[in-house]
Amino acid sequence: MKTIKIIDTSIKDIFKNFNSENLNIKNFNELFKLIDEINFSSLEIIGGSCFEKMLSNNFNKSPWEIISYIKSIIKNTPLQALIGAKNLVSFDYYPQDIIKRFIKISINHGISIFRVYDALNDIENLKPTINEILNNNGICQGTIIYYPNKDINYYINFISQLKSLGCHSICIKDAESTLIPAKSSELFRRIKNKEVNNSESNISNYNKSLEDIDVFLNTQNLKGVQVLNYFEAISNGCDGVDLSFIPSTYYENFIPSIFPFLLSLKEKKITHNLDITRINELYDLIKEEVYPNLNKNKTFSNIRFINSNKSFLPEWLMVMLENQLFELGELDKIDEVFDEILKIKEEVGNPSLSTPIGQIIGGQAILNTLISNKRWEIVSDEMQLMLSGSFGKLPDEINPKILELINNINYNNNELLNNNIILETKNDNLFEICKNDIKKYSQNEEDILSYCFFADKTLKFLNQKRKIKSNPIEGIKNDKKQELSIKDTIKILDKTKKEQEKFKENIEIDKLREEQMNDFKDLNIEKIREIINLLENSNIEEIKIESDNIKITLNKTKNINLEKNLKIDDLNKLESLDLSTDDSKILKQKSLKEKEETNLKDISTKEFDQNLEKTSSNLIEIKSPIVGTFYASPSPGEPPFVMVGKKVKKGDTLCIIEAMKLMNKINSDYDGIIEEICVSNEEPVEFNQTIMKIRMN
Amino acid sequence: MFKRILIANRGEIAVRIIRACKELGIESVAVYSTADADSLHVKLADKKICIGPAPASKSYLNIPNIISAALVTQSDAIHPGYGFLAENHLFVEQVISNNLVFIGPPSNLIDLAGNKSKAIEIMRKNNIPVIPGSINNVDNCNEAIKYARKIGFPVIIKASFGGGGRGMRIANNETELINLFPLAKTESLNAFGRDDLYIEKFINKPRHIEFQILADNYGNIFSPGSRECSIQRRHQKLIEEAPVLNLSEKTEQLMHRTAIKAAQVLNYKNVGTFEFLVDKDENFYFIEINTRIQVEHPVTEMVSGIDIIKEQIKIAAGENISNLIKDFTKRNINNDKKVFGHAIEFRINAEDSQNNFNPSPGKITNCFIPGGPGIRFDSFIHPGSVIPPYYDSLIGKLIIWGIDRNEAISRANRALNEFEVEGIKTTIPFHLKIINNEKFKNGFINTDFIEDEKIL
Repeated sequence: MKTIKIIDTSIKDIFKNFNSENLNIKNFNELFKLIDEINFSSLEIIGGSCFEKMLSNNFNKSPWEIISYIKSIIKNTPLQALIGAKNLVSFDYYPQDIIKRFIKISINHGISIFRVYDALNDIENLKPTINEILNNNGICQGTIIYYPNKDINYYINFISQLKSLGCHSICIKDAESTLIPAKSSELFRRIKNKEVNNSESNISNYNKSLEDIDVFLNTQNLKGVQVLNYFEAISNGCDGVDLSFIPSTYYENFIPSIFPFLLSLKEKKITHNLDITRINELYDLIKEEVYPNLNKNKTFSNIRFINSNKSFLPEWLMVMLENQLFELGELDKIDEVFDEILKIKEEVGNPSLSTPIGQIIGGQAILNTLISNKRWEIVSDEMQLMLSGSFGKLPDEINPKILELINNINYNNNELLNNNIILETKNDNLFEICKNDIKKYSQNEEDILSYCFFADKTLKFLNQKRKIKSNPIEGIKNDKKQELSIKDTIKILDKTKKEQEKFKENIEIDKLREEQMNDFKDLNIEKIREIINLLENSNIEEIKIESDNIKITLNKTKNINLEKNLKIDDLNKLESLDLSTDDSKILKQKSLKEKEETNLKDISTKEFDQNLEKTSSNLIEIKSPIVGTFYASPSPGEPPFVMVGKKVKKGDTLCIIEAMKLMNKINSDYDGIIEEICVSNEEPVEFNQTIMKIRMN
Repeated sequence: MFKRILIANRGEIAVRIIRACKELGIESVAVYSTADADSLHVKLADKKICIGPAPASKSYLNIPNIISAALVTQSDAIHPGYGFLAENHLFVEQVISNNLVFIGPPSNLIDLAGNKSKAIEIMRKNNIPVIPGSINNVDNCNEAIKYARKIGFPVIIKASFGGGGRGMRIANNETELINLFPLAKTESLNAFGRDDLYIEKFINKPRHIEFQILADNYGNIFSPGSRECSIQRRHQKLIEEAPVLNLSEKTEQLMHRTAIKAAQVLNYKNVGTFEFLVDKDENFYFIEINTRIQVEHPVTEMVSGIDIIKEQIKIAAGENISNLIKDFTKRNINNDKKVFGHAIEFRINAEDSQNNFNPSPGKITNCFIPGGPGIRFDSFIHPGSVIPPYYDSLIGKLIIWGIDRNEAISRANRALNEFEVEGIKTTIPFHLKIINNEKFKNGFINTDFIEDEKIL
């Protein structure tokens, strides 16, 4: 009695279809434990849009960490990944270097089986990736996309080729749900040599060798014939099938097709070794934990597709088109676009709509129906690349009329631009470029790979991760500051407030302020001051300091010809200053300087003169040259620079005004006696506000 | 939603933003230079803070003072308005690094849009129509002819390092091109020291048409419609209208989709405008993106019913616009034009239009603002207000709405005649001349209109 192998794809489907707000991997421990006990031949946990979805989770784990986590719980059943030969888990074609790293890292994190497909069934695309998997001791399942118009010999031939490349098993993937039961039965009968056909005896001999390699069938239940297909296939020698507890569209009383499938095996000479009790337990758990949290996508089950057995667009493609049409405000044209996709598919050599070809044809269909006046008036760059063979050999001939049309219209693009685009997509330095891009966030190979695949989402993820790390302290500090400054603001803006009240309040505020200044001091006031001294005593014109939470740029008054940019990555590493000249940064700062004539360095004595006003014969008002926070003393706890009645000389420091975390010393240009200090410590001051009055000698 | 917004601008746009804040229940902080201490935006805002002396470079362009002002007033976000720092990506970076929200697109988009040739290159690669040209330098006459045949005559020969019209030659056919090419080369060499030339399709008397874009942080991108901005003097827009006129519905829809596609290509965020040139045969070409709220946004507001400034603030605060899009679509589902009525904006500048548009700052001793149905006046002036000489001469925008363009024009005629400003000269008489021009009334306008019709 033959034992059928059953692969479960539920974990992958959960990631794909789960409402990401409620998704937390830790809630699935029970589910993972149960699924491991059922005895599936393997579990597909990566594939389709799943990697991308994993990146935008809100439980602070990278896709790689998620895989490791799953592996740490699921110890018995091998884990499997569905990947495109060239596009891996994303949409672009990646250089061999990236493919190599991806396979290695995946294996390190616990993936043991790779199901490799190519949307165009181009063996040349598959070859290098299969070799890479085998070199790393991975198990490779060569995958053939099912094309309804190909004859059986095409598949027999293809399977032999994959086998000779070293694939451990084969999968026929019905990506567009066009497989019908009669075809399933014929396909496997011939592959597995169950039927001796005299007229084609040579082929029968040829594929005898295919009896000893496992051939799986993967089809969706979009048209409701999944179990029928599986039944016919296994009755004729198919070795394994894919099943999932997660529906593409959930409705009440939904029954996963694993149940009817197992029922169909009853009283047959084929068995399985799944643990039925555990399956029931898992179903109960999923009913409770997963189904209520599935995304409520629109139902696409369009009955016309079933009646005529048209290609069913892959689910992700439908969702993508729906979103795009919604943005264009043309949602009512969705049927037109669907039909156009199938029309284009036929015209351009009938490629399957798997990633990335589906995206290209979908985009072109929108151009053809909604954007341009007539079909094929505008041709997307990707479509041109595909037609020129950049993605691999197309299964059928391209309609010559289309080729002609495209050559006529896009003369400009073809001649002048195509070369550039091809170069861009085949960039061998991609990894290094990506590494450099995210050097501020992570130098972890896993994160760099994620960034190669989905740059924006990875950055967002890394940012979020960093925030969570540094948040606790930040939060407390900010709260305190806010409480304080609101009081200050009210005070300065409400000028009618009585002096007495102000005095009382000052005492209270000073206490709080002291605490706050201490926090501030611990952080870096001293260090910033050190840097300012360093700057003053050096030939360096500008310093830019960046650490996790702070960015400071210091400019000096003097115009020195020598331009240098001193960058300090970490305030704690003050001793080991990293002197680096970065042209782009200097340029940036230069242009910034040009744009703002009033920079911080302008707070010179000259500027100061303009802001002095003689109110009476010898009483001088000193006005703030900038907007910022007034500090009476060099640091909290220390005595103030000046007090009422104190004598000051030219050059003496009167106070500090902090603007954007930079401390600006305000110096006196006159000899005299402080008559009045008009603002209190840590009060915000605006431009031209009188801060002190000095009676000249 | 934000608690408090600092408006890093002055004049009518600062007033407009403060009004939006008030309607949203957000506190506003006005910044001002010493010359603007009595200006209307300072009076209307909940808080005010002086940021520098009269010259804009030391006040409204003073990045450290503006950011410091936002920090000391505990503002959550900065609205840049238009002009000043609105399209300075370095300012945006500083805003962000001080943990403030910038109410506008991210700095990388501003940077990209500021680099026109790069923006055009990206559009070209994504099959958005741009003015066809040789892209690279054309070395000799044969090559020039080759390109010209592809592009189609007339073509314009331009100096790669040129500017200001020098070294530019228009060729209507091959013979002219053969004659003019060496001439342009010599001219360029003499004028700029380099003889690198490129050729581009020459678009004679184009129209300037643009599309307003709204895009939230979740990938929803939408356009409430088109604007016609062809009435310009020395590349300065003077009159804007919505929706476009004398354009086939098919072309308008195609442009609409193209604008949205262009925004999608760039993954555009917040508000912006995608500008196109349109030739006589309704071929259209992308020219540039404005990554800010525009002066002429009210005409779109009048015909679409959408308060663009409020939506801009909401988008920056992280709100989703999918419901706005749905409501808009629902509201306009039975309307071919997808907007309601027609709106025209007249820019009232403190300029002497009868005297070479010389600036005319000073004190407005008295004024009468027109009213009645369909009239909106966005401004900061009132009797006694002073127009300082330091800043833009725009003192207000008269926006007229009518059920169709004819009604809007007759209303505009009435309103401009009612309008009185004493103490300074304005562009009101100039606008009256334009709206009484027969070609304008019939909608036959292009960017050369003012010159061709000699309305000066």
